[in-house]
Amino acid sequence: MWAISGLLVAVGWLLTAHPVPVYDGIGMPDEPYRYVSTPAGVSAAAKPAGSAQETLSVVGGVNAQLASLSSDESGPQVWVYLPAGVLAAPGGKITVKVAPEAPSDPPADGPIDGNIYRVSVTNPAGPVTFSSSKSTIVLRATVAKLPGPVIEQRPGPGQKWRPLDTTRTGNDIYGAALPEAGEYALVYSKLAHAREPIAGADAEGNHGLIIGLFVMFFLLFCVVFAVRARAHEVDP
Amino acid sequence: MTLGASSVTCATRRGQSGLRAGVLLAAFAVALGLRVAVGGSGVSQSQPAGLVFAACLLLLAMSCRTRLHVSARALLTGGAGGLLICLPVALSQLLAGSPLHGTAGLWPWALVVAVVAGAEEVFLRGTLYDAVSELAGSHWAVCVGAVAFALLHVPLYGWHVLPLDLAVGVVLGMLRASTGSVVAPATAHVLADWAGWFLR
Repeated sequence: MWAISGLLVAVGWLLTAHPVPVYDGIGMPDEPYRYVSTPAGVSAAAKPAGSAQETLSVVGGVNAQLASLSSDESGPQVWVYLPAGVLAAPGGKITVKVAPEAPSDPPADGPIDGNIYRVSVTNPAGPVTFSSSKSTIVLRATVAKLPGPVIEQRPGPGQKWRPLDTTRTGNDIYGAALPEAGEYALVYSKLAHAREPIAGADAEGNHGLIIGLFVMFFLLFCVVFAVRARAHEVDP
Repeated sequence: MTLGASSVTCATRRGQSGLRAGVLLAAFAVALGLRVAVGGSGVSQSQPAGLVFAACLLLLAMSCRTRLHVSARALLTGGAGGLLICLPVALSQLLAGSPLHGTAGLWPWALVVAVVAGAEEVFLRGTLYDAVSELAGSHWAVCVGAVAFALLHVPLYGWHVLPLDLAVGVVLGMLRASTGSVVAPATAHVLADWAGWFLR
């Protein structure tokens, strides 16, 4: 039984895109969003928005360890993941830092939700370049609502924002590939929305469908039951 | 004559079991609809919606006089089952280097989750399992419970959780079948949900 159970769970896990939340239960309550610049009408958080920093060794011209940086909120408002080997640098140590900033100079396609997060990658020995697209950034929205925002990025202040291909990975959590250092923010864009983990898997839009499925499931059960009961009556 | 009377009694009993299972499924769908109606667009985050749903399921279980059969074996098997279904999540978390969440806000949430998950198990692997098992055997009872369990989570989290919840539903049903007690899947379910706090 245990082997079959383990196999089932492993297969289910592999077939499930972004299995967050894990299985069931009530969504975990996040602490209120910590703004750098609290909007009018919103209570200021007791603590400042968190930042994170990691230092990575360079071996063979690339970062030898992965970097996984998240802010200290529950749940984190930002998470940056850089696998080993994605940062190319001449030597020394690479410092990766993610820090919140107040929203400023918003993009043309919509308002910024929450803080801007600046991802910086520095190395005293020379410039650092991103050599693959396996790095990711995950941002938590201030509230869970659909259609969701997209992550937009710009290299620095005053430069143009560009939307990234964003996936909703949790109720209010959005992820995208991290192409380079720079500023990242969630934007309720008029032009783009976050993708669901599976195309068309909008939970709100599927309430009718799920109830319909339940009805079909129930009817199927009734048919099977009726056929079996009739067969039993004919051949007791 | 005796054989004929026995067959009629058997058919009557099967008819009652079938009717009971059908009514239970319909009531389950209504309870889920109520949960979605109470929770609205934030249904997956809504503790009141979860508690209303749990209350409906517990009322159904009580009306069918579902028994719990608490035993050390069921608790231990459930604990092992909980560890098993958390294993892929824990490994994935470890490999990704994701941080573990702290305990701030954990306890009230854990209490509500235990009530909701426990109620789901008492109903799905207790009341519904008994009805379907009496009608069509334990294999069907495991399958029907797993499908209901998987569909239950779609309005909360989206379609993408269907394969995993279907698999976990079968495992929880197997725990019930192997121990004869709803306590085993309830223990596993609650432990897996609690682990979800840290492993998100």
